[in-house]
Amino acid sequence: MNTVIQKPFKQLRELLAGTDKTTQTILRILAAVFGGYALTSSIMAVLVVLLPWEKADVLFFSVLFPPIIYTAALIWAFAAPTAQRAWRNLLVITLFCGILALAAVWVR
Amino acid sequence: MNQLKEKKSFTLGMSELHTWGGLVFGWLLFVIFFTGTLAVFEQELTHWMQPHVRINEVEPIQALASAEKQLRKLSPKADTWMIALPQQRHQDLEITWIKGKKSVEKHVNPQSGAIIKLPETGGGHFFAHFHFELHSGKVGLWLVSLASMMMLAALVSGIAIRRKVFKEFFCLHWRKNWLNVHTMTGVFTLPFILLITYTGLTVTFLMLLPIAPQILYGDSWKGPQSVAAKTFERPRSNMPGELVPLTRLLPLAEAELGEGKISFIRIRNPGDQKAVVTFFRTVDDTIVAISNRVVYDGVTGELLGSQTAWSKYVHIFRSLVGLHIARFGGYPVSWLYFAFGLISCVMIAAGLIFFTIKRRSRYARDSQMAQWMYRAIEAFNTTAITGLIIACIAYLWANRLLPFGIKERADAEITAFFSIWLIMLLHSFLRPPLRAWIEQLRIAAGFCIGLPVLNALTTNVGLLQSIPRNDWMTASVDLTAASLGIILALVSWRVSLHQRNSEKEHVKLGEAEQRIK
Repeated sequence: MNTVIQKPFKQLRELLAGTDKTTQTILRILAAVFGGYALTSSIMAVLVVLLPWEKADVLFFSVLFPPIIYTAALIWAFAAPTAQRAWRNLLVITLFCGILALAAVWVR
Repeated sequence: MNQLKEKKSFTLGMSELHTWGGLVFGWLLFVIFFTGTLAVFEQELTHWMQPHVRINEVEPIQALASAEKQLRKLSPKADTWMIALPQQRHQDLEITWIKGKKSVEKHVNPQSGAIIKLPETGGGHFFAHFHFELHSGKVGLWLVSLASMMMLAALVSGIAIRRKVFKEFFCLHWRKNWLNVHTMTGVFTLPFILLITYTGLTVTFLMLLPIAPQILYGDSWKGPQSVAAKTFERPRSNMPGELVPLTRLLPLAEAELGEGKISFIRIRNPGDQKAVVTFFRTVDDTIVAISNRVVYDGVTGELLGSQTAWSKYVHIFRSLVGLHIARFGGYPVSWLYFAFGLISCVMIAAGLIFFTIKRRSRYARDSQMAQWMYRAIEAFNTTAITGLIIACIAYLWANRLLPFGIKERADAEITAFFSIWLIMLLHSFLRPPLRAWIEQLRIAAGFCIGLPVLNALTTNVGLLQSIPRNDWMTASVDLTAASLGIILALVSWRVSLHQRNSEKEHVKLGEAEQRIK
């Protein structure tokens, strides 16, 4: 039983730790596209939840940011020394902002 | 030591991003930038593609009277009427009525009030639409957005891997090779590309990543318009009511919005007790692309309300849209955008060509698989650059050559666009790369230079007629196509000269090698 769970987990870890250039590039691309989407969404969520203005003002102010955040994430994914670091960077900030947004909603 | 290693890995990562991201999205970016550049003159192209609509200027009130007469006659029971009044760069008078899901559009002669019969056409609108949706809905929108972000990332990574570009540019170290053409045009168009890509992306992300509206409005979200604009709509009462003459409302609306500034009128529920008439102001003279409006009761003619002031963030957002669509400054700004758009296209094309040239000498010794891949990249380069130019000009040719009365004529034009493009794809795979470039450049040049001739032969708005009539909207399309054709012809001549020289060198080298043996 234990081995059934461990085996795919181990394989995944090996894949993520892969130093082969193609794997690295594919992981970076996935980080840029999906990690970027997640990061942008969570930062936007925090922004929208925390700004104390009128709804319409918040909406039209918030449209200024997604292109910048997403592009920055894209560049960041390729600037990181390894693909694993890129994923880690993006996920940490995404989670942080996501939790912050949820907490802010909850406190309200 | 560690710092050095980090710096090296950063440059490598950036170079990887720039090279491969630039290649894969470069094809798409050329397509987006070229059709977007053409879309700057969307209205002129539409005008050119409707040679039957040539109308002398009339007073707005007379145009409105003609439109109103036709709408009352043709569709008194519609849900909505819409009237687009003649403008400086949009000379025809269009009426549209919507009943249920069906919408019909007609062109009216504002002087005589008669319906103008004209062959259906997609007009310049096709280019404008294609440049952000690629004719494939939301998938296209996503692709275009990813490509645009890649464009922004390519600017950053491009500067990161070659920091001396600014020095080279401002010290006038311009050399004549593809890399230098790419970097120098890149520096030159940098501000323009930042502007156009960023403004374009703010609009698409509101559709693609609607997290902010979802948090703020939930399911009641119906697009930015419903948030920004006050609504004066009323449900239908189903009691008949005589619609007030629109010509009586026009002077009142003009007093509010400015004389001759009304571009669009919408009438909800005409012939109903609860009819509503909305007048929209043109946005052609303001950088904020948002229409001020006044709303009247359609039966009593009473003022229901107006909106001429907007929240400051709506102002910011719509200014970004205004900066993207470039309607605000008349022809000087349009030409500026057109020129910068074309130079950006040159930048992208030079980058794509440099990719293959850099590797051409190398991959001859590579594996079969790699050789096949580089061959395919060469073919896609040709298709995306010259193939697209040919497809665009063929779209204009199709407008003149397709028979007048065929069904779905607008779609047939688009079919022509895509089939010519497909043929060019096949052509670039079948011919050796350099031959394919030269031949497609020649075809493109021929089509472009031939356009004024075709126009003169098939219509009565050829250059000889349009210039004396001061119809510069038509003439400038012909003249621009011809000048672009001449440029393409010069390029093809240069490329073929270069090819002949390199062939000669090749022969000489071969002889030298034999002598050594």
